[in-house]
Order: sequence, then C-alpha cells, then structure tokens
Amino acid sequence: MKLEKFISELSKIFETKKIDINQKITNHKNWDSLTSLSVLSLIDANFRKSKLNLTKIEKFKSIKSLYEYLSKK
Amino acid sequence: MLLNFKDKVISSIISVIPDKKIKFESGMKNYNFSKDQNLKLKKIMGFGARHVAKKKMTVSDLSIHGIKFLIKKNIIKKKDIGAIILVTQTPDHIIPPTSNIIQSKLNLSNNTLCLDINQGCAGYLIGLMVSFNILNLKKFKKILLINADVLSKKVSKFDRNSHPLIGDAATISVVENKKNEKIFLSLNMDGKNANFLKIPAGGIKIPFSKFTSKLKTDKSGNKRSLENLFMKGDEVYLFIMNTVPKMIESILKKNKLYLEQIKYFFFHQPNKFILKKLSEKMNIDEDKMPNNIVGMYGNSSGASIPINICKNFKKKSTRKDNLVCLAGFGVGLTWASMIINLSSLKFKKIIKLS
Repeated sequence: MKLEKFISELSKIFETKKIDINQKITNHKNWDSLTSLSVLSLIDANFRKSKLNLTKIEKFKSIKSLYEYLSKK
Repeated sequence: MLLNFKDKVISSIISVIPDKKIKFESGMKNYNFSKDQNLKLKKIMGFGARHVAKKKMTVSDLSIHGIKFLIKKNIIKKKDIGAIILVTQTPDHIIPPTSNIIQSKLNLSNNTLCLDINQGCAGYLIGLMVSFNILNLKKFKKILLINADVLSKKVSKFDRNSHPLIGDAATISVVENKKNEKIFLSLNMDGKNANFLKIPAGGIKIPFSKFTSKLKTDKSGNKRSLENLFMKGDEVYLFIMNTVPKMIESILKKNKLYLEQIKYFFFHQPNKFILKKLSEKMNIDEDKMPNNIVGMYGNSSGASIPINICKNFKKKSTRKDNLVCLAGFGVGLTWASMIINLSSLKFKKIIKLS
C-alpha cells in the first residue's frame, strides 16, 4: 500500500482530510477506541504486521514512521 | 489439534431468549462517548437490541424452560436423556454444578450424567466434542447439551467495550448417535493470553470485598470493577483475525474440502464488525456467514452459534447441501471450528422466557 493510499484510508477512518503525517496517530483529534479498531483492521488487511497492538502503535512518534515500519518487508 | 467423529448428529436445537429487551440507545448515556461517537459505534458494530435476564433469572431457569418445551412437544422423552452437559460461565452457584440442579427440577433419573463445563465463546464446540465422546460409551442414551449464560449481570453499564454487546440466552441441543458423514473438529487453546478476557474477582483468588466492587476508570474512560467482565478489545480483535482464517483454511485443507462445499459458516457473533472483517479476509460471501444475531439478541457467548443455526439455517433436501462450518473464539483463549452435516436436524426453534 502506497503512502498516499494509507493517508486516504486514514482520512476515511478519521472522517477528515486533515491528516498530518508528522503527528503521532494516537494524538489525532478523532482517535478513540472505535477509530483505533478501524486502524488495526486497515493494518491487518494490508500489511504483514499482524501482531501490532495499540500499545505498540502508540510508540510510533509519527504516522510517517508507523507507515515506514509497516511497509518494511 | 485436529479430531474427527463418526455417526454423531445434532437432532434438535431450542434457543431460549429472555423477554426483556434493551435497545442500544438506552445505555448510551452511561458511555464516555459523545452522541455522534455512540451512533457511529452502533453503526459500525451493528448493535441494535439485546435480550437480558431479569434480576432473578438464572441459567437453570432459562435451561429448564427450554427442556420442558422439548419434552412437552415430544422432541425428547425424559427416559431417553442420558446426560445433561452444561457449558456456562455464570452458574447458579459455585457449588453444586448447575446441571445437577436442572436434573433435580426435571425429576430425571439418578442414571443421568450431570456435567458443568466452564467455557465461553467456543463453548458450543467444546460441548459437542465432550458429547460425541460420551456417546461412544456403550448403549449411551441421548445427550442434552446446554449452552447458557447470563453474563449481562457481570458487565459494567459504564463499559462501552462490553456493555452494548452482551446478551443472555440458553440453548439446548439434542446430540445423539445416528448415521452421519464424518465430523471434523479443530481445537486450539492459548492460556498465556487468558487475561485478555477475564472477570478478576469472585473466585477463591480474589474473593468479593468492598475493594472489588469499587468502580475504576480506565484510559478510554470506561468504568468497571474487579467483579465485572474485562475485555482487552484490541488484543482480542488481533487474536481473532490472526487465528480464525488460518484455522478454517487448515481444517478444510487437511480434510480435502473446499470453501465452496460449505453452505454456511455459522460463527460465534461478538459483533458485526469482526464478522465482516472475517468474511472479507476469508473471501466468503456475507450471505454465507450470517451476522444478524448480535444486533437482535446480543452476544450470548457459547449460545450464539446454536442461536445462529436456529435463526439462519435452511435445510436442503440434498445431504451435501447441509454441510456447514461452525467456529467459536474467545475466552481461554480458545478457538475451535467444526465441519458437520446438519441433515439430521429435524427441529429448531427460538422461544422467549418472561
């Protein structure tokens, strides 16, 4: 999945075009228990990092660094 | 582990649902969510109504109501009942087994085996496995397999993780020896992650006390006490997505079956979201994997698969068209699936108890 697509999927989940890739995903104003579940599902369906729980996702300092980790083969 | 069984059938299933119906909206005010968030939660998870037991209604009440119905309609005769196997996590008492209470209230003979099993969302498959094995004993009569829980009594109303989905129910399946196609079972356990789904207090390790009934707020604003059901939502989701599709793929492959040969996938229904994601991941039509139970009655743990069958199974005249796949996943952690032909299912019904 390309970065642009990843961002557009996130903007569908968060229901806003405002996605700052330098921001921590868990700091997005629409991050909650429901949107976080959709993020888990997005990752599960598109990347091979199946063990990434919320505690681990929270550790990425930006959406960009999360994406880079996910795209690593 | 992969197991198989010969010439066992489920001949009847009755589901008993408490009459008391609660709509999602009536619990919303207690969740730490805005109105918009709540409505989104409802839509995505497919929450609608739940049926819950009245204050004094127990597992034995629901079960006895169903068994009496079966006896009255002559679906089973008292003298043909060889065992009551009850799968529950909310027994009437810690001691004695609730199955013995049911035996006594129905005046069943002393030759009846009574057995309680502590299992949750995969409890239907565990119960069937135990029933099939007991039926291998010489001249064993029919088995009443009961899956019943009143978990709504153990859920905090301030916990939007669990409260909007839990419903109560009992199902009684008549399991017996009769010619049938081979039955395949895949059974898997992971006690290392047992903490993902737990009621911490009320057993011997943490007895009830003033301390255990105190509500505490978690990071997401949900309030619950140590006496309430606790579910680690993200971990449970990952567990299901990581284990269930692989399990189904392997049970089919090992037994030389194809996805297309299975007419229905009657899965446990925790919420609509998970079932949709499972059907997408496994490339199964949503029509073949019903997800309508949780929004009508709630998630009733081990009873949800038999309720799913009662509501959605349409028997065909050709035997091969009645081949179905059942799957349960949750507490334990446990995940299990079974491929079984339901051609011998001659009676199924959903009734209410007020």
